[in-house]
Amino acid sequence: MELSQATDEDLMTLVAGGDRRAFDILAKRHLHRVYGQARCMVKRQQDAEDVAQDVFTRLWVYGPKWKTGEAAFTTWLHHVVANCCYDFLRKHTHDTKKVEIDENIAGTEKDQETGLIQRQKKERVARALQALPERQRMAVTLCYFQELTNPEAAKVMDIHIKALEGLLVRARKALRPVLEEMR
Amino acid sequence: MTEDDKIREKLKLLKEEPSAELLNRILTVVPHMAQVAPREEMSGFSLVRFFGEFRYGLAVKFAAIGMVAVMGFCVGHLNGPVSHQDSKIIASMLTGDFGLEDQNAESGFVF
Repeated sequence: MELSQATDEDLMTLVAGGDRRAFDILAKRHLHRVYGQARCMVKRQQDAEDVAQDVFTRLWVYGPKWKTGEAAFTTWLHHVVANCCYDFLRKHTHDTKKVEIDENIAGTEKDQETGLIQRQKKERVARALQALPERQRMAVTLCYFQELTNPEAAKVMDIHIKALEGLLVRARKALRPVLEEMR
Repeated sequence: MTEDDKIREKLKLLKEEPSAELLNRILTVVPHMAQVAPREEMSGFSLVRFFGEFRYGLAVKFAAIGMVAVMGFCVGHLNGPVSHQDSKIIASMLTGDFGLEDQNAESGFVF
């Protein structure tokens, strides 16, 4: 069977055995997912890239510990990303107080084409998201950005589904003024 | 449109593609790192593992033992020493020599 058509779980089993080609395919397949989640959790593009690299480093280094059948690969991957984000935020707690959005999220070159209004909207959403507490931000990212189901997100966050729903209710309440403003 | 859909729509604004440079960096740097071998499942009692686990939270363990010792000492002193009369009662309870007046009368110990 062609390696590029192999399932994530099969590729991960190969990664556990030190297969670099399997790792390449997994990285290409899931980088956007990992980076997207990290980008919502940390403020700067550079930080999100560092988190993404950390995730794939853990995936490779601790690959031999992977056990097939314990969890779906994507659930496990989201869990690793969540842990890497929490670790990063814990190391940079002094940065989390002030909500500063870097130039890249406020507007990259591509955004200049979409106009100033779009850029301002993006900046406002980013600010509102960054103002949420870590766990609420993670819940919003997993459920609304990554579009996981509530049970999946609860599993990733290692919490009860009711706890996740509570986080989402509080997050929605906090985001409501921003959404109203942006109508 | 529900509130959930609105949030989803707004969050789409934040979608960004990771740079190609990041992918290259990951693919060139990471696979050259050493992989961690999975730990063998340990079964049965192992002295090394016991001491390893015992060392976990050692300061708290010693602090708890010390606190219990101090509390025991304080409680002991608060109650005061047992009187001579009480000692006799306790001793008679322990030896079974308790409750009968005529028996105790011989020993001069009357209730």
